[in-house]
Amino acid sequence: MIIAQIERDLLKIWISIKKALPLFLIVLVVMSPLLFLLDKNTLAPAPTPIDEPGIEIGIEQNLRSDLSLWNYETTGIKAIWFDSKDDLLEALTNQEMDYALTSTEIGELQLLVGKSKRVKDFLADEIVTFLASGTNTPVVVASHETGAKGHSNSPKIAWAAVVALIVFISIVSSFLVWEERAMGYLEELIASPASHLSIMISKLLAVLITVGGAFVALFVIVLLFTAGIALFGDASDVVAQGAGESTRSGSGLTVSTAAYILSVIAGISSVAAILVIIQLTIRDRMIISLVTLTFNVPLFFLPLIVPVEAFADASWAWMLPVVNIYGDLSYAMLQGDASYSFFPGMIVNLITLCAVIAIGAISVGRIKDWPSR
Amino acid sequence: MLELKGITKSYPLPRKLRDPGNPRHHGKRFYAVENVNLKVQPGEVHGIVGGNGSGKSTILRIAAGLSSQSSGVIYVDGKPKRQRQKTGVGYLPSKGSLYPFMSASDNVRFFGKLAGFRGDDLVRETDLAMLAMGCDRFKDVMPEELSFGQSQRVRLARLLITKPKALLLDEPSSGVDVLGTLQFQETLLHLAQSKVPIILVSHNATEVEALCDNLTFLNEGKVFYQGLVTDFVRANNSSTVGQAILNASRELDDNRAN
Repeated sequence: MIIAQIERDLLKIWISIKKALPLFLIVLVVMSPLLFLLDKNTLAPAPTPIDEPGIEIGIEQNLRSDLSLWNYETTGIKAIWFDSKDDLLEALTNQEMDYALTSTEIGELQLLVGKSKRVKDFLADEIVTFLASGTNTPVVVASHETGAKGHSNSPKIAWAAVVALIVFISIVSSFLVWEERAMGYLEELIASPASHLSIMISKLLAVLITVGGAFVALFVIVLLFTAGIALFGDASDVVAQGAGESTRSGSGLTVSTAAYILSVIAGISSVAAILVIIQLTIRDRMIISLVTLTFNVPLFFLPLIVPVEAFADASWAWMLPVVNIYGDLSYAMLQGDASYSFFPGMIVNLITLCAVIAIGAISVGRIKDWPSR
Repeated sequence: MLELKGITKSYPLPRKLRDPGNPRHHGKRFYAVENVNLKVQPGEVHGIVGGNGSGKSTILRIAAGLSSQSSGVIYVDGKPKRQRQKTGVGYLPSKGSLYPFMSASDNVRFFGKLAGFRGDDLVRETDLAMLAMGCDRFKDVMPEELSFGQSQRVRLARLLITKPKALLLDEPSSGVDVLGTLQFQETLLHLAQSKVPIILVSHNATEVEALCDNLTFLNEGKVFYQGLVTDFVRANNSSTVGQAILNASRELDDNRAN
């Protein structure tokens, strides 16, 4: 019964897309060269050798006697400071220096890297060897994530993608629910042998399948477009960089990837179900538009208002699927924290989804009390 | 058999809309329909007539399960229907049409799937419903190419495939030309022979006269007359249903004025 309804809804969308396809193609044909030109013009110039002023290294005060710091000017080191460990860490956090050499509790030498991007350069330059030359203790290189919080765009891009998804869900739910309602189709469906729950679930799944399909299609188009630019526009670094970012983001999610994915899917489904219910229950079209606008637009600005740190212990955020998605995305992408568990979020999102579907089934029943005209 | 016993539907009234002089306002509530009793036997076509806002469509929506009554009971084949329970009756709303992106038979097939038919059963039941409504000649035609009369027949076939225990038709020939109306009347008469009880809400007095055995005349949510169509015509000193409705309405206006 549910499958039959989903088939019908998807057929409706497919027919509509087919009608609009020539228009899409015209837009694509007109816009592609323009986008290509724009992209060419905005590509970053090829990297040119920059006259690096050199790097600054801080060394823990009590290590001073252990190290022989001879001839460091020749290795590209601009300055070496000696300070207490706490002051060095603070300087690293404030990005006032590039590296700090400190000792660990077990007596190891630890090289803290302020700007993790420069680790490779640093190792290639064999500065570690140089620094360690005065001691027999091996140096452990560790990344000190200075100023990463608030500087990385990854969570905000992810958030923008999630909100764009929600806006699209809003559009599709309007197409599949409000229009059906206005045309009288939904009323006939409710009077048919189809149960209220099956109507609710089928509408929700049809919305999610459509939105999911559209995003996969968009992803493929963007991928092909980027690959095209890389091939013809000598911008392979764009692709390489993108792939690198993905790999890096993915590595932080190995522990509970499945829970993470389920959590986000359940969260987005909850949002979709809420939007379907809005379309089902509110009688006035203008009020529906107003509600969905006020629901969607502020979501874009949530990351500006709520600091990511608030999600470190995101127990309060699990109350709301929307905020939960943001919490999960931000925390996972920013921290890459293996200890962060998505299971509680997933469970709460699933419970929320079930509750919203149940409310939706009741709201389908409420349609019975719509005025006949 | 479909029976409605003591059906009342009321809504809470906002304070500013309350009018003690309005016969449908009782205290804080507005009564859309009040204590309506109606029984339709298999093979019978029962007409509901009355002015705009008299409660005709509300009765039909309650019987279809699209609106819940404030009090009263609906019996389908002698069994009382619980709140939120599917009635198993077919409802043809005045607003609504075929899905424009599906052929005539696909429209019927979709409702067959909702009724639980699959595979060969679905094909057979679709063909039977189409044949019963005389739609087999245009089963692969898209709705935009069908005339209004043909569309309504397909809509009826869509209801028939769900094996309804009764049919509720809300102004099915509204806006149809004379030929289309006559063709549709033929279809309904054919349908009545299949022993399905039918309730027909209509503004078309000729249609009611041609199709209905009994009728219910609703006035401001209450039953003004219920019984044989011929008795209604005779009681209002008329020769046609249209004339009888007019005379009855004048009488009601006079009573209200006094």
